[in-house]
Amino acid sequence: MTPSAQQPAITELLAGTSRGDAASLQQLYAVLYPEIKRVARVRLAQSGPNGRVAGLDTTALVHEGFLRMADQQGLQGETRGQFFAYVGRVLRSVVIDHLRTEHRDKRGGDAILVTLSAASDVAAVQSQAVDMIGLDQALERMRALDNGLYELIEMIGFAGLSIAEVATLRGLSTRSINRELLKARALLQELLGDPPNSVY
Amino acid sequence: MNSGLQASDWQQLSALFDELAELSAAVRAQWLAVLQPPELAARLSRMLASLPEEVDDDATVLVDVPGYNTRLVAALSEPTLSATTPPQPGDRLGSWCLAELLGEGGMGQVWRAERADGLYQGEAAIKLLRGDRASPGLAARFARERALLGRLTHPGIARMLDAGEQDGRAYLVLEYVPGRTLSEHVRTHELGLVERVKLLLEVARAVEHAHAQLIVHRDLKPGNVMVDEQGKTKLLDFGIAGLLDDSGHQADHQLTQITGRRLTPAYAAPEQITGEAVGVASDIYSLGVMLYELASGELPFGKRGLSRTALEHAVLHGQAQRITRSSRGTRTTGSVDEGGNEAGPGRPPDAERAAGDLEAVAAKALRKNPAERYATVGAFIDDLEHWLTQRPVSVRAEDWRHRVRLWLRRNAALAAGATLVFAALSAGLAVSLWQRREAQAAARQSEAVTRFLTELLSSANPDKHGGHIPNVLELLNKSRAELPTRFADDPVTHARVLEVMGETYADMNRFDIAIPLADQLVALTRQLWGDDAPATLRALRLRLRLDTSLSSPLGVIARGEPLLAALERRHAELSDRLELRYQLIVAYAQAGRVDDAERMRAETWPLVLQLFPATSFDAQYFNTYVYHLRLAQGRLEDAEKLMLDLRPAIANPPANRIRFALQLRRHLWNAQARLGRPEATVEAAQQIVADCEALLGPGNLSSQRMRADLARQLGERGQWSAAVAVHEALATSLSSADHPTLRLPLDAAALLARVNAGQTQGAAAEVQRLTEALRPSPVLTGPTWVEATGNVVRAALALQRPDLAGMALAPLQDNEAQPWLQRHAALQSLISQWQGELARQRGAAMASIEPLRKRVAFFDGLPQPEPLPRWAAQLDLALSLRLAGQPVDQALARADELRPKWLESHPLDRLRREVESPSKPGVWDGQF
Repeated sequence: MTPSAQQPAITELLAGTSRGDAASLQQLYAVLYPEIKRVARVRLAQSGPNGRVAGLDTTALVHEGFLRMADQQGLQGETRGQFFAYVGRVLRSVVIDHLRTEHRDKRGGDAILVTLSAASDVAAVQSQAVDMIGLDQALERMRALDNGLYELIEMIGFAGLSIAEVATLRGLSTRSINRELLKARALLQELLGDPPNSVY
Repeated sequence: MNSGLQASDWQQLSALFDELAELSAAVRAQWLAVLQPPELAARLSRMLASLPEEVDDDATVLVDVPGYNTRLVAALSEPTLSATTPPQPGDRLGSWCLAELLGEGGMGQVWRAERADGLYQGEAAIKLLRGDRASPGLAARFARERALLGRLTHPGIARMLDAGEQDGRAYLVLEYVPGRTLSEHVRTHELGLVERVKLLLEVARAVEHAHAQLIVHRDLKPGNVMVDEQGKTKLLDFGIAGLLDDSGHQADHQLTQITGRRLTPAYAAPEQITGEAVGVASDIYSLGVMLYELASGELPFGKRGLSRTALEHAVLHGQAQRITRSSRGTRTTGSVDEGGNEAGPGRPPDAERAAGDLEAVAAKALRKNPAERYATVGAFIDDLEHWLTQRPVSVRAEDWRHRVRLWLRRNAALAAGATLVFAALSAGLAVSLWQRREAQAAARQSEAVTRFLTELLSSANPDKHGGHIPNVLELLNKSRAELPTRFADDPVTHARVLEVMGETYADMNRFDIAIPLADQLVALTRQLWGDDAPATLRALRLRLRLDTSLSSPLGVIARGEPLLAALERRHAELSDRLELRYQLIVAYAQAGRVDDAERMRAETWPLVLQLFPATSFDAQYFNTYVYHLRLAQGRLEDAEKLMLDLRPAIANPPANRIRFALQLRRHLWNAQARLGRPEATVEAAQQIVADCEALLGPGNLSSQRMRADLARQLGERGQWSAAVAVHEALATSLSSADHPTLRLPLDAAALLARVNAGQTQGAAAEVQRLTEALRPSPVLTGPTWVEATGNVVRAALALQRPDLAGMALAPLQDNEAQPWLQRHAALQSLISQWQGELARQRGAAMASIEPLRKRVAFFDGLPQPEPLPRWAAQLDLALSLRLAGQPVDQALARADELRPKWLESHPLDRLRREVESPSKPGVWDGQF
């Protein structure tokens, strides 16, 4: 797919999703999913044997792969943020899909810890152990409640952006981002703590 | 059950959080104590507890998800579709997503798939080849063959869209054709014999197309022919058997090894069964079997339901029953035979009509010896059409007309105004051009035409031509005169002969002769068969083809509009209509009717997308037509951008696309040259010329045009001597068989260059010659004619012969004679400029100002005007102001603004200095 052929699709779809258009959402996902995965794989391949062993450095992924993608699409500001939030979401769903194929997606199986830690001199706050599905659901709820905070978590936790990058993207200071992130963390923690069968 | 955090709660919570976060822990606690409701307070309390004691604004908050990274790596390393796990609905292959399993065969599974990326609604059939069957070299072979099969774009062939290998599994992506197989369709609709033959003809045409691309099907059978909801046939599995074959030979047992499924022996040719060389004759055989079966309901050899061995034996040694005699009408429904193939098409109610000719056609296709069958599918098709229409049919181009044209073209080049080798004609031609078989076929199908042309060619006897050996043109000319009387009683043949001759002359670039013939043909076919008949439409397209070759947009419009309407009425193939629409877009643009061009563009693009995916070459190539539109709209940068965007598509073109790639390069060069881009060098242009000549032969139209473009650019930059050199190269490369009228535009441009380069000897006489010769005619009309005339006017002005210039200009000012010209803003502005310069040269400098202003105003009105001519026009105006004694400061300042930054030096710079200096400026007319 050539960039020019893709361009209208992605920016339009992003606009549609921000309007809450469900169809755009679906389409956007479908468009980005293979592309992001491909980019991620390429990066992984390029990172050589070390990459596989040490675990993918998602930060590096962002810098080289998706930044280029975002630039190619001419994404700025709000849509750029949305895009990266999607990257995070897609990568997470890649993991979930994989777990699914290995039949490890059952609730209660292979728990994953979500550690929302702060800088080294601040005590880490550990959430309850929750599986990826649970995490996914919590994030979904979060998105419905507060999209801005949700995007923060996606970008920083799963798409590997740095605070500084998010600050630039949103046109805010790193201080503001820090504070937002603290709030986001607190909210996520709440949502993770809610019983799985909660009615929302 | 607890209820989770609700949106309304969150709003409140969020606001409180922000406020309380600012406060000290002690104060916070106080607030929390009094907050209502208690659940909210509890949440808030927990949330606030997560905040660090000391909010250090410079610390960086981390979100860490341990294990995520390693899991991500693991997930990305897994193949999506492994060779060992069975495919599931939803699995992704490239940009496709498997939807439902359609069937399972020896080769693997066939799935219906949908586009995974949502870019457009699309379905495909994906053949997943079984992992264990894939031989090591399969992927490599796929890649080679994919390019080949991807070229098979024909409405009757299910295209192969993609092929590849993913995670150890080879797959083919094919066009998905919902519908029924041929036998099913025929049976369900209870089709009669004529309908069945028409269907088979469609199939045969698709096969013919593929053969022309050197692709053999090798597994033709009713099961491989789908009939869609519109009743159109599509051939499946084309060349798949060829793909999987290791060697050029195909033996049944080899195929078994590779595919796990043998050929259906019932439709296989004898040589396929015995493992000898397989070629087009084998496909013809299979078509014969299908014909026999459609006509009788039975297989020609053996019966459905026999064992494989028995069937093979029957094919190799059996004799076919006469169709009309076979009375096994009961064995036509129900049972599925051993190979899993469906039951046949059933016997048609009017099977007895197959007696005689149709039987003979099938018999000829079914000969055991391949050499005795039809040599080409085209011949097979001809005979079927003959049978269908019960009268002589015009012979198919590929077989006969094409050969005549080719031969004539080859020998016209030899002739080059001299004598033709008539030993070759009378002796060689009869033999080499028309092999006995073709001669017989031609004779059977079109006796009158054959007789006529045989006589024509054998009339090359010098005694009949006043003692000298006539050349082809003379022969044709002589017989052309006879046509009306010769065929007075046989208008149908007359029409066919006109068609042949029209195409022949067109191929020889003798448009002066081809056009009247084509006009006669159109009139005749209209009279005989009406406006919408196939023959009339063919005639119109021939005529239109001539218009396009001559760059005659007026003709294209005049003929193209009714033709398009006719095609739409008849629901012709979309691809045919598209072709015409492209031509109309360009024609409207060139005729200055930009609104119509834009309208046509907007209408056509969605149609393009119906036929081609947005990212395909064909869809992207559409931008070349839009390019012409943008130029006409004065959007030069947009035009450049279109061509730049297309560059990746033409970066490594496949062989059948090189011609288009060259076109794109030419257009891009043109746009960039006008914009003064550094890439548009003389060398680049010469390279394009060289590449065109390498591909299309010396002196071809494309390289002519490129040279002309280069010369024009050089002229605009004032490098007239260099332009002269290019014109000389151009003149040498032209074939002298080209009609003189076609050379006139080139002569005019060359003349202007020479005069401005200072080579004025004989120029005045040339101006007069050209003025006389450049009367508008069918061969030379429209913008081409205007431009040529304009060059003569300018040359006359440069020679300081206003008398000659006036004479040359006169036809351009005849509004009644050229009504279209009134609407052409760009050309009107040029004419205005020439009028202005002429007036100035005649001494009326004041009177020249207004027309020159018009030219400037024209550029001002364009969104992205061409920089150089614009600047030149401004200087032209400034010169007149100066000579009329008017103030020039403003005009000069404007000219300086307009002078392109990228322009190095230009002769007009000197003009600018002269305009400013006190002494009278020199004569610059004709150089703007």
